[in-house]
Amino acid sequence: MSRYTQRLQRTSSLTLAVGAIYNAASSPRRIAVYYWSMGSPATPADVAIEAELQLSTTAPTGGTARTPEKVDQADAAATTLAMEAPTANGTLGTPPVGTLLSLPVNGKATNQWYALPGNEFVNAATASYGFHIMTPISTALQSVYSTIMWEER
Amino acid sequence: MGPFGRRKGAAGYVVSTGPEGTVERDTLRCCHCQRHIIVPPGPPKPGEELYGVCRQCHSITCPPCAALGTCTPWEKQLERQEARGRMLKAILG
Repeated sequence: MSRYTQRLQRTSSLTLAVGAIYNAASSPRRIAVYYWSMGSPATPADVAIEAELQLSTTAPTGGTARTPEKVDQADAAATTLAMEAPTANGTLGTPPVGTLLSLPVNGKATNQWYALPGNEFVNAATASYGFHIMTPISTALQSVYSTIMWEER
Repeated sequence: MGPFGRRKGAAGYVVSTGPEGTVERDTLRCCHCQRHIIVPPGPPKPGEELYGVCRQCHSITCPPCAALGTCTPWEKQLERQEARGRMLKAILG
């Protein structure tokens, strides 16, 4: 079980994802997310942002493809794909299974979520299934950074 | 409290670091939809329903899953989704 990480960035949008990680159409694996952080590199200001990690069942399009980094350099390259700042989201899950975690974020603060072992967010090993990072609420549109770490199973 | 200062049953934690210092909150995990719920500090307010308990698997659930009243653990849902994906791939190629 190999671990990977990816930092994603965009000027926050109320409708478009900051980024997403998702299974390739071939060789889909279970993705187990165990760390997620949200912060802003902008000048510190009291901007209220709600960040959400959501399940998705299709891939986003139009963004910048990123190559996930290996946590252990001895591991093979990730089969999971990552995209930053898409122009169209994938299909997001619907409640009650849609939003996995809502993080209220202040523009001056950094928020990190850690899963205790066995409590990771896991998606199905199905083509294009994955996770989207959303900011559905933001009192000002500013640049946000999000780092996500996961294990391929 | 559990080991390492965690609440018993905690599934994760959120660390918020800002100008006013660092705040840490435990999270609980819904056994049916795997959603994590951030636990507010202090005792629950009267009438506040933070989470439910499934009467079949005796695990913590989020309020929407508790309202459904059915027990389908997340692992079972994953297996169904994967079986559906394999079937579609076999049909559509």
